[in-house]
Amino acid sequence: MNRLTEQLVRSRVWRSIFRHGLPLSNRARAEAVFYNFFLHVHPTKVRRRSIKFTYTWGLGGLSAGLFIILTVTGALLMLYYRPSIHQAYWDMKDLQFVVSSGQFLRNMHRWAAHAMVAIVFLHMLRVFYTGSYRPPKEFNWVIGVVLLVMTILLSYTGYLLPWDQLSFWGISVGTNMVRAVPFGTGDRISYLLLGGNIVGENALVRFYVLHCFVIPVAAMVFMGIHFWRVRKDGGV
Amino acid sequence: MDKKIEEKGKEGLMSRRFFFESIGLGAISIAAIGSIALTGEYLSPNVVREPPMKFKAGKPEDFPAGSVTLAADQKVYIVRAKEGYFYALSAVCTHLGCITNWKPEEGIIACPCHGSKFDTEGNRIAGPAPRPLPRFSMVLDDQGQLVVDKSLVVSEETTLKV
Amino acid sequence: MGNLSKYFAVVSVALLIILAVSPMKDFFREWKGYQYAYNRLVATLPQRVKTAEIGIKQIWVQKLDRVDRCETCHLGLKEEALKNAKQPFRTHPLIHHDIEEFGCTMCHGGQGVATEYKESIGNVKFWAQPMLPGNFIEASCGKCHKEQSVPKAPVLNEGRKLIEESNCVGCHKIEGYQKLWVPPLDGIGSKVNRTWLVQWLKNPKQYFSGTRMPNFLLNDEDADNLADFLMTFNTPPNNSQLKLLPSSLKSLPDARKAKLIDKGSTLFGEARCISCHLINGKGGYVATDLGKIGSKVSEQWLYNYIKEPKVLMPNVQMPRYRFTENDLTSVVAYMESEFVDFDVQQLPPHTPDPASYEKGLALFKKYNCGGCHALQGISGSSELGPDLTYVGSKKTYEIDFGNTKIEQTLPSYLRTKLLDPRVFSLVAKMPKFGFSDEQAIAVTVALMSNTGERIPEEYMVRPEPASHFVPQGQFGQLVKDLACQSCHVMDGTGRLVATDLSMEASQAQPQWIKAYFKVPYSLRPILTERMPNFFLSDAEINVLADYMEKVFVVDSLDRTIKSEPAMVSEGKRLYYERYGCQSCHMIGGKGGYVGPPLDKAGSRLKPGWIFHWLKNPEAYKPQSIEPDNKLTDHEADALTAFLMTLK
Repeated sequence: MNRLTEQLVRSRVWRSIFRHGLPLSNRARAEAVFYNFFLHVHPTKVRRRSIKFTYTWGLGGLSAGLFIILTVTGALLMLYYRPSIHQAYWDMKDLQFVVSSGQFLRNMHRWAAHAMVAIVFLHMLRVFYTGSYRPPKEFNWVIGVVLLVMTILLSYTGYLLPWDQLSFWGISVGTNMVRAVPFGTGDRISYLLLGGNIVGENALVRFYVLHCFVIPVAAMVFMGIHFWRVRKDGGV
Repeated sequence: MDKKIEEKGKEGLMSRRFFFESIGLGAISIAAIGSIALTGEYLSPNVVREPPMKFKAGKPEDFPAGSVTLAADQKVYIVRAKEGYFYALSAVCTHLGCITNWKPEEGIIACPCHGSKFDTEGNRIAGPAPRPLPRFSMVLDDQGQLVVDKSLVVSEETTLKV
Repeated sequence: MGNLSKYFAVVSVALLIILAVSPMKDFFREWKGYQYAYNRLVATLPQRVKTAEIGIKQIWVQKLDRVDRCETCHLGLKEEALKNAKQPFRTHPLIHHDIEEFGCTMCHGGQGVATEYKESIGNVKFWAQPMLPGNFIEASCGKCHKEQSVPKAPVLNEGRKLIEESNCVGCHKIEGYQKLWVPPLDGIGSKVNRTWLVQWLKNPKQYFSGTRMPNFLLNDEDADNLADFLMTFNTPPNNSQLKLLPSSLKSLPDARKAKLIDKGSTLFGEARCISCHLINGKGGYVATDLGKIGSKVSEQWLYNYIKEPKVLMPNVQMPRYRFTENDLTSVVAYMESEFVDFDVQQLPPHTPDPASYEKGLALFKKYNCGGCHALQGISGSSELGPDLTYVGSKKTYEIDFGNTKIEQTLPSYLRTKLLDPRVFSLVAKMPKFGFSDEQAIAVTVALMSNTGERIPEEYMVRPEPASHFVPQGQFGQLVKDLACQSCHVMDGTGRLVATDLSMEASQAQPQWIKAYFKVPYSLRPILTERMPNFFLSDAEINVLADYMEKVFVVDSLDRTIKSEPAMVSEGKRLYYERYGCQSCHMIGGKGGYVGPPLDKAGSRLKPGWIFHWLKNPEAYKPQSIEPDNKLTDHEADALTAFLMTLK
């Protein structure tokens, strides 16, 4: 067994992927962290206080976890969903009635989304009360706020996709609120958002693209920066 | 004395920890394997919106003797031989699945993709097609309609006399 | 550290359990239980019935854009053996439509995509197309079937008839219905008396239970004002003047009057007024009840009306009888003395409200009387009531159920509204039509068939284009004058009470037609409606018969029959022995009453007609009960030869 492991670790394939040996020595452990894409964001040192669970309540990690759940379930749901006003509602009904585990995935996506909004908000409160927005972390606070806004936008754009009465009127009301933007740009923004003057086929496709591509990708970029900064500033 | 108790406690703790960790890891692995299995099942649709395998082709009198008619939606030729009997021939080329064309002036069924040619019986006469075109089951229902069932492939001699 | 691993274990197991719920729910889907139950049921049957494969079954009707999964549980729809099985496994009753081509929800409503009982056929709140209750199912037939008479949908047909007869289009917009003729009110002041009018306005059905006029539930004051308003219109249409009777009946000595009444009684019978009119509930159904007419209209109006019906009521479907002055007086005398309402309630003395005209006019407009009745240019609106073009698609949440406790569905709303129009709101203006519950259901069904659903044209059955046949010339004038088309159809126009005359001259011999106009009689003794005697002149009869001979013929019906004795005797044998025609038809006083007697068939009918009729009766009269015996040409010839000998 040990010999087999050794052979594997020494093989060219392994060495081309992992440029260090097994983490048996301190040096190897350090290398493992430096050379690994996923581990390299680790801080060199972490304050004892910030490891304490009751200090952070793990809210940032939970948000990230929910984001992963949402990405996975969302991708699966996309397989049975067509963003057209003729089919969207029926596809949702099909998920409910005939797709194995369809309703479960849909519910998971929905509840995870609700939870994410709540938890990201709680995360912001925690950061506020522990004063973690103070220098040198003030820029990360700004990114955090951007991520909070993105979370809410993701939730809102997803709201239209089932294409039922609740969605339709929810988006009608929301995009009418956009019209209140001053300097004569409100109508224009609403027009661009809906791809027209009413909540119709264009609006559905636009919201679908925003929900499934634009906002998640942007959020991922901001999340990368957010995590990087957290780590470099000595957080978990 | 104290040390001994401490050690014992530590040992007990260690085994308890191991116990809980294995339960936890076990549960997570089952959940992970289950989730993958469920996802696999999720990916396979339980219902599909495709034309039914069984369809009504029309009444026998709609087809003149010696005619080959393509039921385009279903990709099936309804052939009425000169002698008057019927059979249903797949219009899908057995080479790579292109839809063949009926060339009445030449009296052959030709595939536009790679040049396979078949006669009206479905036998290959040229090209890369490995097999003759299959025949599907065809019956006359009580309303006098020809009913073709694409899920039933029948032998090459089967015909329907009306 | 130890606590942490405990949390880890607990959380992981909890996660596993949560994740396990989903496949469990999938595994124990409701429909699976039904499918297992079906397979168990099928195993107990003596007949061989295929067991169901476990899995969702669906009908996808691409053209109608429907996916119906009802067959997932309703597994025995096409299995004859399950005729008496419990639902959801019972056989579907035989219908004309193929389930594969139409799906289920097209007719039944409900949520076709659902695979759960509650979601699919339960009353899902706000579901746009809820399941139709069984007694309203024919509403779905009417979504595609827009023709006059929908086969196998008696309730829908009845409902459409009632909507047309009730003139709903007077106040509502509904597609596919025509406005019917309603007596104009011009000159009503010189036609009826005020006592009658007040009581009529309060409850029309009390005077004539079969009237189409609904009850507007007016209070005493409103009825008085409306009556006073209407009584001011005492000039007949087109400013014509009522002519005076040759001798006023009141001033006649009793003996002469009795003689007149006696003569009038005979003429009233001869004129066959009761072919169209009722007398206290008995008689025809085409026109109004005459049983109490003497207490309604003045003798002067009646005299003028019978003399020239279309002068007092343009477009009325009443024939102009060719009575002499004396005969006419006697008919009027008879009607005024015989048809009196002895129970008429005298109204208390009444002093008209000085503002009665304005108040009456306001009421006339409020209740949209002009929607049906014409009155000197005071026009009604066909949009007073809600637009009913797409009433079948009305959503439950759009309906105001008021304080009622009825089931909150569209059919129950419409049915209740039709039975008691003001129950949902006190300010509603809809009158009460006095429908029975069956009629209310029928009208609801017909209304519910008007949906906004977009159905591909290939599924639609449109009404045949209306015929625009208008008889011309002298014949046309006579047809109008005699209102032939209130009972007869000619080339697709007219009302079918009696026979279709479109090929009359190919059916009957000209001599017989002429004789018939002189002394009409009923060919079928069991019918009430009989051809009236209009007392036509010979010249008029010739005009009618000649025109019919030229126009109402179908050349293909001609046929010459050889009347050889051998053929005649063979026909006689076929008549009495082979086909037993005597069970319905009478010859020489012997035989049944169902069909017309054939005593003089030889001098009445043309041989070609007898031949073709015998060959295929339904081709000429779809509702005929004459059996189609699938006669050979030879048999039909023989029968015709025999019948032509009966002169």
